[in-house]
Amino acid sequence: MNPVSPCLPNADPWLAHTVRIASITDEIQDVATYRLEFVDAAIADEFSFLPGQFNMLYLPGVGEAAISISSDPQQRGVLDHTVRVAGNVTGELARLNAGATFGLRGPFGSAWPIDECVGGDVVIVTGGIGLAPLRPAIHELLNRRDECGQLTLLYGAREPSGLLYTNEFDDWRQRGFDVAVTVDRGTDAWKGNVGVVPQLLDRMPLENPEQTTVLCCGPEVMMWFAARSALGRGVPAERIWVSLERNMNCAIGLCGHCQFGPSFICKDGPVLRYDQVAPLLRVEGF
Amino acid sequence: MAQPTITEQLAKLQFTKDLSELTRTALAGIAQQRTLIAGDIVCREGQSSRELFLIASGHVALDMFVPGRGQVRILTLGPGEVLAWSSIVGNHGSTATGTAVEETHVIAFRDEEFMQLCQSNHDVGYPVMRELAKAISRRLVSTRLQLLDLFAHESA
Amino acid sequence: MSTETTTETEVFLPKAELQSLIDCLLGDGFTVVGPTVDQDAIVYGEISSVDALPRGWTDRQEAAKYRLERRDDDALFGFVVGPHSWKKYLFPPLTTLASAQKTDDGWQMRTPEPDSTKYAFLGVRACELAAIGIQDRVFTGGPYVDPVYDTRRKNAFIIAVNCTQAAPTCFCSSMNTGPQCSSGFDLALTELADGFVIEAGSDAGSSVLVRLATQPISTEQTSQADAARQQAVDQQTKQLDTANIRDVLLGNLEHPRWQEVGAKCLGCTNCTMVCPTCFCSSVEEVSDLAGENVERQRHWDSCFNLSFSYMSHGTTRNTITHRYRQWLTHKLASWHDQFGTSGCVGCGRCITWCPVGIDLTEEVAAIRGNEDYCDLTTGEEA
Repeated sequence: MNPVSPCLPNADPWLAHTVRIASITDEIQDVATYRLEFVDAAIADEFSFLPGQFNMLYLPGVGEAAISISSDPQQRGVLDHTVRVAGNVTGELARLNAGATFGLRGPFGSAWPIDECVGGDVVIVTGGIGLAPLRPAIHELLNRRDECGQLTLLYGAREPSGLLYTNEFDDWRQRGFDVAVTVDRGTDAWKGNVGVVPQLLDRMPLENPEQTTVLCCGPEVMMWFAARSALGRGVPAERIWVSLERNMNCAIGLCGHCQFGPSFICKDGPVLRYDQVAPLLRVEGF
Repeated sequence: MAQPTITEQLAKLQFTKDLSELTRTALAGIAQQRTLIAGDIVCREGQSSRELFLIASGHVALDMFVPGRGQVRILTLGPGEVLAWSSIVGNHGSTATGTAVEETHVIAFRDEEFMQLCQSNHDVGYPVMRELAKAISRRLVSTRLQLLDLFAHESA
Repeated sequence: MSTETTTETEVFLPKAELQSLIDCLLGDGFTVVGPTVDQDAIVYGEISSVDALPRGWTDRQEAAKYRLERRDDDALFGFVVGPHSWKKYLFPPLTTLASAQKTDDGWQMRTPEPDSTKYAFLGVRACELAAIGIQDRVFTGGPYVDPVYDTRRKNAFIIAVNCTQAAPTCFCSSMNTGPQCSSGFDLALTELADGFVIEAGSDAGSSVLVRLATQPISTEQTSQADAARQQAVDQQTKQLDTANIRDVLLGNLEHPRWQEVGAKCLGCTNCTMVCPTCFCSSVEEVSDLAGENVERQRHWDSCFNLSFSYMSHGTTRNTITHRYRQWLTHKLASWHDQFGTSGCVGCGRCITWCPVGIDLTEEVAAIRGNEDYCDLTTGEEA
């Protein structure tokens, strides 16, 4: 079973809460992190989330977008969303300034299985904006560093300018995360690794594969090959987790858009166990 | 800590770990350890290459020269991966330049000795060439993933 | 309304007394909805008189065909099912879910007061009772309850009518949903020439029933009702083999039949609109000119629409083949995983209203033709 939302489902799941943009941090081109605060203090006190969950950000008159939460779940009162401009809602969000208000419904969806991670090694395999939904998991694992074995982050992007949170890597390293970074295409200035992310997994030593948990988020093809690599290295399929993306409209399993075979990505996912979704991942148009 | 022997290293590296101990010992018999420092070139594009390298630790980058663009980095290789296989399965002419990007330990096999070993003893040769084929297959898959340009939609 | 079964026995309601049932419900504050003839079809609409019912009409149905015909009697419920289903009242085609107003203090969010309309549904068939039961699970059985559906459902009073005939498109027997109404109603009727055999299925039903001028039922009336209901069983010819259907469909996702049906299907969404269990929807923003008063309106959507699976970096189900496969595998296979039941009740509407006559029972049979379905559990490349 996936971890479920720590919050009781909203009495009215359609009611958005008003949030205000506390600050905006530009990350990379077309990507910014929005720190949000609830206007209603009671909601702010009540709100908590699990790593991997998402909120529906609602810009009245424009629509809603499902955006994963990117901040540390233990840091109460801090609610960050790292958003890439990809459509109408995210485009409009990018035009807002600190102080602007809009709506938020959430948190929704399943979470990264942190309780199953602790006690063993963890390898996070991710690419591009896929690091955003894993950042809370990185924080949570670092919060529980003493309970974990080896912690490794394998992260890739198309080019160096597509790498997120690079100014945080040193902090994560100091606190106990091995961070390996790669890009598909190098630049003259890039002295780091060139190649795809699954290759980093192929070559990394896995001392206790059967006690290793792999958390993946990125393009489905990348996750598929990362999982193949992990399986080939002896990681059990039930210890590999992926975060999937589908069109999300309601976020509460009532609108039908995000179905992926038996799963509603919004409420059964987005974080799902690899062996439960693997058979459908390479079926075209499903 | 004592430096691990070549046989000990082969037992851990992806290219050789699934081979039998006998095969690994045979390979160790023709292997040489070499330490590279950052900037050392192990093979040069267009030039003859007489050794196959297995990276034990560190990283080697592969660059190809494109007129007007200069050296274009296409791949970085790490522990357990092989390079300069043109010496074995090509015509000895390197298709890329391999440069150590940090202190790197490689295990080198001279092409004649490697081929001699594989040809004279098929019990060694077949599994070794199979591992080489698997390494090339993995490299091909990685190249395909690079070709797919999976993050293209994230780039402006 | 409570749907507990009671031990109420069947009684007889003379045809002339049916109006008193409608009056009784109107008096209790219900909006009575029943079958009525409109635009050459039997549809559901608000009624206040038995005269609005399709007296003496029947429907002739087959794949891609629906025609009304005159009966040689004055039966009020002598037809099967039309293009409408009760979902249009419980899950309205257009609803305002929420609103936002821009104020000096920023956006204020609201959700509307629940609609207090109480509906009484007159003429709910067994397959439709099953469909309501399925939508109950969808909208109220999970961690999130849809307030619109929930309120309307709790307020609804259901008068079932047993089918006494079947169309060539009916296959409720295969789906174990009918033709006899066995539970999920407040009152259930079986139409005879001069009246109705009527029984209560809930306390609410009983309390209405005692206010009607019913008569004790005769043995003959009982056997006439049995015979009428049996006719609906006997007339049913269409079948859907449901054995192991989930695994058969999900194990045959690359079957060539999907291409064939995809080439025929127009992607028109008719099947999903007439389906009494299809629940897909989308929410749209409806704003005033100033952009300061915004309503969030939910409307029925369909998995046959290209935009339904749109994502910024690509649409998941790009072809009609993909979308038909999604619809059928959801309806008959993954619905079991999601809601513990099939999503199909065997009403046959999708067959009748498909403009090109695609019959899902034929599609399943064709896919079953290849029982040697691949095991997709390994996920290994061939």
